[in-house]
Amino acid sequence: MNPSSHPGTPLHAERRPTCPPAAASAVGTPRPTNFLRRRPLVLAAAAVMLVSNLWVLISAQRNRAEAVGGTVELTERELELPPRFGDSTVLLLNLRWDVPSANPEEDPTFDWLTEAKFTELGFDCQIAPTLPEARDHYASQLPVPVYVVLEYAGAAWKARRDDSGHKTRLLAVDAGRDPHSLRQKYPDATRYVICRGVVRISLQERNYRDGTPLVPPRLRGRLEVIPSQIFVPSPYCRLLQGWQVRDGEALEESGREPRYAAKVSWGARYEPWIQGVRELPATGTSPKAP
Amino acid sequence: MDPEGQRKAQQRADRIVAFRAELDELEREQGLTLTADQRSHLQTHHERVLATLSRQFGAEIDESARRVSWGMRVATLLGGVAFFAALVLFLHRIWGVMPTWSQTTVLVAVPLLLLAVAEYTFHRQTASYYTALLALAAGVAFVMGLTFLAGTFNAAPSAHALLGWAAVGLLLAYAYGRRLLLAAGLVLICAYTASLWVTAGGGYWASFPAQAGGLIPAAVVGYALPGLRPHRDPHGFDFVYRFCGATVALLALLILSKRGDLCCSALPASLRETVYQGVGMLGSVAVMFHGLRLGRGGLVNLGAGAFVVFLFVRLHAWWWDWMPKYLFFLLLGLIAVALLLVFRRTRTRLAERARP
Repeated sequence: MNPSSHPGTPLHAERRPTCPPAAASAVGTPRPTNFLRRRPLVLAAAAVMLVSNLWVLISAQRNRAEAVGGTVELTERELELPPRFGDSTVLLLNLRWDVPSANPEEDPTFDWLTEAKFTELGFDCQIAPTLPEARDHYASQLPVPVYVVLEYAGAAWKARRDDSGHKTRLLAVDAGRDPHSLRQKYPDATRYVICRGVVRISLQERNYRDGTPLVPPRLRGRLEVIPSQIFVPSPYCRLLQGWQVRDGEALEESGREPRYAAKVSWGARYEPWIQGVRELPATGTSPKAP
Repeated sequence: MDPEGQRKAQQRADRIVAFRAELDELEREQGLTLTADQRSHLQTHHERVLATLSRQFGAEIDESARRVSWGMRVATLLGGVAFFAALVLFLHRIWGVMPTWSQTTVLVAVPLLLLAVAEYTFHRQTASYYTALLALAAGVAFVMGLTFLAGTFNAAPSAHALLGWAAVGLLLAYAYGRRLLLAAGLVLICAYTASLWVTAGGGYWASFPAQAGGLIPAAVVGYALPGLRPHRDPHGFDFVYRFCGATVALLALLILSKRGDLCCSALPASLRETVYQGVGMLGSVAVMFHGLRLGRGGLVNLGAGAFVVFLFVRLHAWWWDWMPKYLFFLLLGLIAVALLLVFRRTRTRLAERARP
């Protein structure tokens, strides 16, 4: 019903909204839907949905074409099984990695994240940390996307002074903007994994241990690996779900040996996927580090 | 059923009901007395119109019908949410035993199915509320589905997902005339352009809320778009463009006033804060006056609310550290009273403008 086709009704005065006509003889059918304009919009929305999902699938396929980022077999130390949430059978393993620090108890920061490395990663470090404007300057800098090198059971892990055997053997040893340069620097793809991450810079003005002022203040970085959880596909879910409990205790806290190992690859887009999961023998031995 | 036609039919029905009540009051006050013929003719005419509006547009012609309709809508919303939650929880329950190809199929198919059902209900001319709910569900399912699909393949989060979600929101908004979907699409577009700004500067895209300056260009464009060319606005989209644009821009200025990293980095931090808050206050006043000029109470309220927030943040920066706290809050109260007087006068002007 098109109100504008009935000029005789009093409701067509200026600034009064048009509406269906009142007279019985002028009452017609409801206004027809504008088929020609609306349907293409709906089809376009459906097309966007399809293309978006297709893009994700194609990207995943391209990522898995070649394990450029490396392939390692990680154990429960490095792939933590989260507690079960309700009836959910969705399973994501938490990727646990650590920092090679000379004194991890007192100063759990990255020794290799120096001012030169920050500059290499793209941060502006021209303001000296001792200047008054340093706090605002470094607080205002945004995180930077990087590629992270994770070393599995390598020199950094062996150099740890204290390892009860239950801590992760995956340590972040380097980062950069170009993954190809990193791979050239760390060519062993069975020990060094290159994955995506994010680095944040901050100004440390107090000691972590006791909170006393740090003289002089120094630059510190925080690193985040992306993604921090790895999805477990269904063939391997059943094995791991048998161990999943509601209020699970971390391996490190429980003191037990790792129960499973998973072969994880990082592909052409440096995104991970699980290629296989196996149960480890319960004798207390775990797969030797390569 | 055409939402615009439904809306206008309901407005007409509401006017008839209000007219009847006012006519009864006038007759009691002896301000106007109709003859029996006039009353009978008017009664018959109104009954015919209301019956037509109810039959062809589903308009609610009395208070009891309106209450029942609201009850139906609440029940439909709760039922829809419950069904959606049941589906999500059921999928969570069986996800681990489903092969990857079936997981992918479910995540891709559910939003498309909801969209198809929304289109079907629209074609069958059922009440627009149900079509709107299904269209919204399709949008939400698409957002969740794309997120879970990326998680299934451990894909790194990408800013381009914001563009896809925004596109679907905008397309469905224009297809079905839904303002909520339009608002969601516009906010996502602002977020996407801000993420591009951050990426171009070498930063991580997801940190765009921290560098809120990237939100402002898209927000300003969104605000200005309705005024760029004359056009019909049957669904009230112009107000959504302006409201979303103003909200995002003012919010960005508020964030910038605390971080101050868009520009003017050579200035001291306190001066940068003052500059951004001053710009925010001016912007709020501009939105208020523009809302007055357009006769849009929503814009006026937004501008007024933003102005109060910016003012209080600035006063906090000036006075909090040195002023006795009781005096600080006393002054805030007095300023609030002064603002109430100003807004009251503004409301009067708005009401005068709305009169024909």
